[in-house]
Amino acid sequence: MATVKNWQIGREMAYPYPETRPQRQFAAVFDLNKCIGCQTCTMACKTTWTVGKGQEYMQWNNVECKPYGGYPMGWDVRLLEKLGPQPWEGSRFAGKTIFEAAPTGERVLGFTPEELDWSYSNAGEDEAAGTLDKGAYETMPEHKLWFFYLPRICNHCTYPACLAACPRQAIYKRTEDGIVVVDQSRCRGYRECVKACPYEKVLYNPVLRISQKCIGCYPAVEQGIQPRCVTTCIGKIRLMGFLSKPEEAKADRPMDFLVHLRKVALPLYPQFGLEPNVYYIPPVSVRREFLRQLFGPGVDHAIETYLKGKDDPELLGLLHLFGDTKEIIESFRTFPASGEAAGYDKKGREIVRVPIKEPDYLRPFYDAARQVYRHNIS
Amino acid sequence: MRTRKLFVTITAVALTMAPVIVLAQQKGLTVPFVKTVIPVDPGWTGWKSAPALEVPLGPQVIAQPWALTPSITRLTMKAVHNGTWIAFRLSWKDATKNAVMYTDTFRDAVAIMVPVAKEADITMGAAGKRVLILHWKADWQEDIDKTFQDVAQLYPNAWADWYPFAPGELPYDITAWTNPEARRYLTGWVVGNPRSQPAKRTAVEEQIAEGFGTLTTSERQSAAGKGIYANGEWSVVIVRPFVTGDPNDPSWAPGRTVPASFAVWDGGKGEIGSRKGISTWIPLRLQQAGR
Repeated sequence: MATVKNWQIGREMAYPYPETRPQRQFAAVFDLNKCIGCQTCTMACKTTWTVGKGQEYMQWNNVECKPYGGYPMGWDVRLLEKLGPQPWEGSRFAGKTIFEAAPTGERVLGFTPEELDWSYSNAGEDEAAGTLDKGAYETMPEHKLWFFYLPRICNHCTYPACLAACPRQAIYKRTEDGIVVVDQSRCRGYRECVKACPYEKVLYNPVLRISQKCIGCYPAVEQGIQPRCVTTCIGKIRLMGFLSKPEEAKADRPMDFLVHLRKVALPLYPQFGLEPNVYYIPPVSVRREFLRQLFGPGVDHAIETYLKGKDDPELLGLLHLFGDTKEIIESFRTFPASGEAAGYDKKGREIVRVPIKEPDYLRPFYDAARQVYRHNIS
Repeated sequence: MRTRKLFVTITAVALTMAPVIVLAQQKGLTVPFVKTVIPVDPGWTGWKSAPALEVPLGPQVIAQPWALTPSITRLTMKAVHNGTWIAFRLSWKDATKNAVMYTDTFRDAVAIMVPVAKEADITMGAAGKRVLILHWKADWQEDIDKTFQDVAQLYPNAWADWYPFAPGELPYDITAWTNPEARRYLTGWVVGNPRSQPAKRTAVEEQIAEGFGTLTTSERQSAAGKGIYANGEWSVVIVRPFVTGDPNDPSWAPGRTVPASFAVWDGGKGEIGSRKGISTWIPLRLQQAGR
């Protein structure tokens, strides 16, 4: 057992392997204020990667509806129940990670989902927490009645539980980009990884009898292209990039800016101790208590920062770059004078430039070309 | 709990450090010479006269994840040879036959391990101390006895519109997928992972290892085997020639005494990989040939 530094839980923790960070770390930010649960990302990933035999049930990318949904069903609540209540002391996690809570003889505390649990990815969709009382009205800052969509992929964790659990070391983390993959020739289908991953993002293929998972679209990433689930997102809620260590964060790098500097994007269940690398901007009207369990103690600051976005031209500019190019944006800049934001590749070449505020177009009441009157449509 | 953990750790350390000591204390089994062809059949009448040894199986508590309380704790072992082939008959009681693996279920299996050279660590060998393993699996047996367990067999009511570039029609039997475009999606098969090959020559896989976690499928597969489940009991026969010319041929031969150890997995109890019941080294006294 080694001791490694996990900045998300503000302390060191036990992990079976020594701390070895990749040269660059694949990371993504998903803005949950924009996800409409259209499942385009799920279909994009499925059509690209999981259309083979034995993969019929697989959703390497899934979108579930909180509070009641989950793929597989109850993936998070079952583990939270096993862990029991675990405390935070400010930004330092004082409880047990899933490595520290591992039973005797096990590397990780986990469970194997039952087969049927994979069948209900839509259960809980649009089912709100709370009841609609007569005379109810929207309250702020927290809505009494709420639900939201949580899109999930493999988090390509810094300290993957799947990698830790495999007795054959058939899972590895790529040194060039930190993407975690299952070696298809080395895996023997023991499924310790399936049991260990707290996010249940390693899936067993019963025809090939080995396990498979999201590969971060690494063939695209190697070419400077963002993953399929990111580029096809209709709501433009996603951005993929590379995240630096906190002490090496650079203000012009999109991931660093959102995660380390503005701290508006938070990790999913940081208390599990894996240092996951997909970060979420929390949905602003959802009950804070729920959000804190999901994203940790940084929720209030994240929401406050996001709501002040209109007065934060850099944040606003960067958020506008989401979904505007399929190329990976290595650095970005905002131009307050012209009200634009631009993204650049590794060599500093401008890939994309967008207006932060759409210009206003004033159209005449009568359109002479079409010989019609324009009316306001409400 | 801490005392138990300590006890278990001490036992584990003792086991690791004393393969030779343990060997000397074991009763062992005389492996008789038979002057006949040995069929790959647990029901062969020739087994009746072969001596048996009850092999106790205990916890695997060296490599994580452990099996603190393995499901199967006794294995009945018989072995014979005819000068060219050595054959083992292994039987054990298992309340359920688990031969098909769904996403959350595992299958029954048994394995024999012998050092390639004179001796090896019980921990599936060690660096420089290679072991040969003959691993029979119930799911491979099912593939052979019935048919390859594809989606149509595992999930008879499942439906899929299409698989990209897949030839044929529903249910798109993968053995017909000879074109590279369709096979792209059968990753394990294409990269030669033995777990992912639909066609099975036999239900036994020959492997080598030099310590836990290093298990590797042998390049040459010379073993064969067959398992039958009846009346709550598995009976498995595994055969292999003494000599194949493979550099990993163990140093076994008629007239010699070689150590062997065994492992059993109860798929119905979630046993797979390192979650198994294991034995210590058992000396096998191979009778001289030709008598």
